[in-house]
Amino acid sequence: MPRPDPDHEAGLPDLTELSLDQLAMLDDSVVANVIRVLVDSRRDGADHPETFSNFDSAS
Amino acid sequence: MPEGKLAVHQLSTTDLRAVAAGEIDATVIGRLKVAELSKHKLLLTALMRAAAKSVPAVYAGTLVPAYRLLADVQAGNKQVVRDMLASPQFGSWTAHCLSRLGDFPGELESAFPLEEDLGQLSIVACAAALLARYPFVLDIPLRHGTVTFPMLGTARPGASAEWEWGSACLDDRGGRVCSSVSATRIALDGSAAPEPDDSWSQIPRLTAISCGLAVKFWLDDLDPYLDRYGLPRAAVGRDDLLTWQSRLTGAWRILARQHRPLAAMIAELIGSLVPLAEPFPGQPVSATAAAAFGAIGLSLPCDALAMAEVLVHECHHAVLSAVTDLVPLTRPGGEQLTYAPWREDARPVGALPQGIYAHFGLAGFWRRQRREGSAQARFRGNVEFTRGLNLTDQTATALGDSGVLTEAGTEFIAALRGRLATWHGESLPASVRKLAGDCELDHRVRWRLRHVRPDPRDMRSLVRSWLAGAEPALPLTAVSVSVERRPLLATGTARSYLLMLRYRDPERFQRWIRHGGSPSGAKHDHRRVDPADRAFLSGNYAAAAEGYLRRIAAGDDAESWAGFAVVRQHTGPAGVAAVLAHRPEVTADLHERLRPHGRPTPDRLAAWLADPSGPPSREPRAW
Repeated sequence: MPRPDPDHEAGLPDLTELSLDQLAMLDDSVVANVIRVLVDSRRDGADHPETFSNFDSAS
Repeated sequence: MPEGKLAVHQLSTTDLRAVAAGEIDATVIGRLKVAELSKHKLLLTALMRAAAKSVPAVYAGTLVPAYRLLADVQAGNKQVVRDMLASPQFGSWTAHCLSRLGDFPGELESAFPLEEDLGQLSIVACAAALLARYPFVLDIPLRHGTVTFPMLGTARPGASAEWEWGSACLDDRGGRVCSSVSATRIALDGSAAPEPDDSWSQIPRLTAISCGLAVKFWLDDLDPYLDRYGLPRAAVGRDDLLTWQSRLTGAWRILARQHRPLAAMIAELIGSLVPLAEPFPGQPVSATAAAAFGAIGLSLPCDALAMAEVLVHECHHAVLSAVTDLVPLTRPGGEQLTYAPWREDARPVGALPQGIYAHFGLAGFWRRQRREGSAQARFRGNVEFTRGLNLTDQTATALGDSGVLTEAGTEFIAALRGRLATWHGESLPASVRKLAGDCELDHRVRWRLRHVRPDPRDMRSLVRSWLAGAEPALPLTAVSVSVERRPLLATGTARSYLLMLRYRDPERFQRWIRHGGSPSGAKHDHRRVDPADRAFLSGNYAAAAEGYLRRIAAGDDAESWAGFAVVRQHTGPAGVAAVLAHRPEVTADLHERLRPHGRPTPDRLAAWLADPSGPPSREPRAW
C-alpha cells in the first residue's frame, strides 16, 4: 500500500495520478494524519470567508 | 511515483514569497490546483472509510455502487473524473459529509437526511458518466423531484414526496432521470431543453474573451453543495443572466487589458460563480469558502468595475486557502479577538491573513487601475489604493507582532510587507490621503467603541482623579482594555456609506448634498442622515461638532462619538484629536461615568487625558 515519504509525514500527499481504485488502498495512517492537519487548520481560523465592501448598487 | 511511496505537495520558500508579493505565475497556480485535487481525493477516501464504520448500510447500498461507477468511468476517461473531483461542489460535499460523520469541524447544519446527503456521490458519478458517455443506471436522491448534476444541469421529473429515490441512466436512447412521477430526458449536446415543460435546464455559463484571454464560469444557483456562504442564494432568471453576462464582459475587458496576470489567475482558478442575494438593499456581498475551492459567492455587482474588484478580492482568498492547506501560516491558538479594518465585527487574529491577502490583492489592482480613465476615475483609484495600502499594512504589522505566525507565516507577511513598502513611496495627493484617512478613522473609532471595553478598575481610578481635580491616575496608554465579540449591526451606517460615496461617485454625492434624501437615493434605503453628519460631509466642521456634541450630551450612541472624532482631526487641537482617534472608548466611558457629576464635555475630557498638566477645572477654550 502506498505510504507517504517519511521526510514529509504531515504533508499533503500527491494523489493526483492515483485512480479511485488505488485511493481505496491508501494506508489508513496517511488519511488520518492529513485529515488531522486539515482539521487543525480549520480550527485555527483559516476558514473565514470575508464579506466584501458595502457599496451600493442603487445608482 | 516510487513503488510504495507517495510524494507530497510542496510550496517552496521562493514560491511562498512570490505568492505573498502578488507574483503568482502559472507554475504556482498549477501547484495549488493539483494540491486541491489531492485534498478532495483524500477527503473522499476519508469519507468512504468514515461511512463504512458509522453507516455501513448506506455505505454498501449507496456509496459503494456510486464509487464503482465513478471508478469505471475513470478507467475510460480520466479527465472527466478529474474535473468532477476537482470541482468546488465536490470539495464542499466531502467536507460537509465528513462533518456530519464527525470527522471535520465547522460545517453548516444540514437540512438533508444523511442518506440523501451521502447520495450526492451517486449524482456526481452519474454526471461523470453522462459527460463521458459511459452507459449506466444508478439510483439517485431527488429533492422536491429535482436533481442538479454538477457541470451539466437540473432535471425536474417531479416526485410524490420531498425526498424520493429515483434513478438516472444512459443507454442507446440517451440520458434520463426517472422518478415515481415521470421521466426527464437529459440534453447532453448543449442543445436547448428537449422537453417543452422546462423539465431539464443546463447550468448557465458566463463567458468572456478580451485581448486573447478567455474565461468561463458556471453561474450556479442550484447545486445544494454550493449553498455554503451563510447567505441566501439568488435565483437567476433569463433577464438576470443577460445582466450577469454584461457585467462579466465589462469586468473581463478591464482585467484582461490592464491586469493580465490577475485575469490569468482568475481564469485558471475560479470555475463557478454562486449568485447571492443582497442581505439588505444596496449592500452587495461576496464570499469564498476554503472547502469550495474554485467557487465564489457574490451578489450581482453594480457595474463592471465592481465585478472586477470582487473577482480579484475573492480569488486572493481562494489562493490563500490553497496555500494554507500546504503551508500553515498561523499556529494553533489564534482565537484572540482583534480589529480588522474591513469588518464590523471582532475577528480572531488567526483569521487576519485571509483578509490581509484579499485586500493586498485589491490594493495591487487599484495601484494599476488608478492610472486609467477620467480624472474622477483616477481620483477614486488613488483613494482606493491608499485605503488598501494603509489598512493592509497596518493589519499586517499587527499580525506580525501577534505571535501567532508560524515561521512560514512570518516569511509570508514579511514578503507582503516588503511589497507594500515599495508602494508606500508612490506619490499621492494630500486630498486623497485626507479622504482615505476620514474613512479609516470613522471605521476604527466606531469599531473600538463597539468592541473595546476599558477595565472598570482603571476607569474608576480616572473618575476619582477627575473629581479630585488631579492629573489622571494613570496614563491613557496604561488603561487596560479587552475586546468583546458583540452582535453585528444589521447594516452599515449612513455616514460610512457617504464617506465612500465622496470618492466613488462624487456626482451622486453632490446631488445628495444639494437635495438630501436617503444616502443611496433609493426609497427602500432606510438609512437616515443626521444633521451633524450632513454638516460634516458638507465640510462645515463647526456645525458638525456642535451637532455631535448635542447627540453625545443626549446620551447618543457610538456613531456620534465617531463622527466627533473625525471632525476633531480636521479642527484640532492635536492632543484631543489623538485621544479621540486612538482611545475613544476611554473618553466615552469616562464621559458616561461622569454624567452624574456635571457632564464635562468630551473636549475637556480628551484634553485632560491628553495633557494631564491641565487641571480638569479649567474651562476648555472654544474650538
